[in-house]
Amino acid sequence: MFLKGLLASCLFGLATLAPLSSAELPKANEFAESKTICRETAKLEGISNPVDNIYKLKDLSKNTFYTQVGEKDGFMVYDPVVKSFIEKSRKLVSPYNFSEAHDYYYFGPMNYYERIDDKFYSLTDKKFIDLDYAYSLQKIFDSQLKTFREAQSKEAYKAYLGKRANSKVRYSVVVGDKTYINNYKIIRDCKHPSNYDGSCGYVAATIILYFRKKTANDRLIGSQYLDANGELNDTGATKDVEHNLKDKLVDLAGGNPASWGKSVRDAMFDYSSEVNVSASATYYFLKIGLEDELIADRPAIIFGALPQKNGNSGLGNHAVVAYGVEKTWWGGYYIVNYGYDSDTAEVDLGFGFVGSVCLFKLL
Amino acid sequence: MGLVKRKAWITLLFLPLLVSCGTDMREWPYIELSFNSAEVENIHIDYLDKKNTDQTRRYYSEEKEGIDSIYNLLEVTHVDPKEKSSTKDLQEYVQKVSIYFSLNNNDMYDFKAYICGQDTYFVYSDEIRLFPADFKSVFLKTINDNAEYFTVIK
Repeated sequence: MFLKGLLASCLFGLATLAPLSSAELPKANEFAESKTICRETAKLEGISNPVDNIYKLKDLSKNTFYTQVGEKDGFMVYDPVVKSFIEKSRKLVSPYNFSEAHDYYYFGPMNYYERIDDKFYSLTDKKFIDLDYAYSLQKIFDSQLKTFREAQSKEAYKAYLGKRANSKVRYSVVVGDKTYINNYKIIRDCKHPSNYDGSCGYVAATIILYFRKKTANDRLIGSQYLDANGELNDTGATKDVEHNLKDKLVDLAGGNPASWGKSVRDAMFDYSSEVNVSASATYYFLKIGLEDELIADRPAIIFGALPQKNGNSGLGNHAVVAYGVEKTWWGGYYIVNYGYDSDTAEVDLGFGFVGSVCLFKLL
Repeated sequence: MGLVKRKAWITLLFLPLLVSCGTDMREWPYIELSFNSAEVENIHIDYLDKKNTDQTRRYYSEEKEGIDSIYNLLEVTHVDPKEKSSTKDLQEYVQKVSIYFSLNNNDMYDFKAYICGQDTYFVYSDEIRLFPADFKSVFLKTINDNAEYFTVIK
């Protein structure tokens, strides 16, 4: 990796050492500044031995991004327009190898491509996509990038929220830099079934059902799932479909406690039908719909490779309940309940990869 | 970048997108202790919380209900069938539960749980096994539910 990185650095260096026209000078300044910022940030981020170069990524809207990698691992994508990082991880290995003569393209997190003529080779699923499909990815990314760029300062974020404010917004609660959905303490402070079987998605679903019971429809959760104080039963290590709502949802899903957006969506929908409460449950890839859900004052479930709770390093597959934001809508800074102990009932998510979301709405 | 590394990051990045969160442990083995609950004379538990140090406790029980509650919890706990060879991840623990079973033949059996992020690593019988769920909450719930059988030393 080091030698290849060095070789790539040399090739890249040769390219950037080519004579510059006056029109290219701003780009050269941008590159030098980006390189400095990337290197300093990589050190702060704890990336071991950051490679002494940054690599260029393109998109189809004529944006340029720079990526900083570590000698062995560590991967960051930097947007020079707002001088901020779209992705940062000190553990992930770069999806790009930068050893080919092709251009490297970036359409947002999880969308890493090499361009070979008018074909794009996906570095995630090792398949080619055509130019039309690439433009459809670009369209989604354009929207995400616009949001990201608008949200890079507190002032800009407030302006952005103000611009987004419309009749859908009801009672957001603002505490310092944090914006919560209304009644967020129900999610933060609720007692919920323990995740002793790898069922984090269904624990998250249980929390959301409890929130909707408390705020919208008391019939949503029957008394058999509640204790004497009206809180959710927790049967610990004992599976109890009759009294533990999380176990009920897992049972509805066929018994497999592992989950993603679709399986939890199905279980929540089936459960609502069973208790004769009209509801819609949907799931989407990536973060589609998440922002609007929070603006509409509804919590949502995020599934993905998320930071470890308690600040431990690395990412882990997990599902959490999002119920607010801090400063930006992009990638990190969602305020979430991890569905573990009370220590992690309010966590600023930080950077991670959102694989899918599950949204639940009473009709 | 070699093929292996490429596969590694594809696994890291792509699985969360399409496959799952959480872990299906139904086919995993349970913790096997090398003695019966009836052989235990007393139990000492050290609960160390590096984050909330005021939560650190020591528990002691020589009552059957207290001993059984912990023994039974461990017996219904799945563990990764693959033994973990490195102790590297254990060093990042935030909470540690050290359980010492004093047996009636004067032997001592110790079982340790290192709670690191979403995962817990169990160290027992000279093996390290992963438990990718919330051991801390259920352990503390078990203690609380059986509080009358434990002596707590802060």
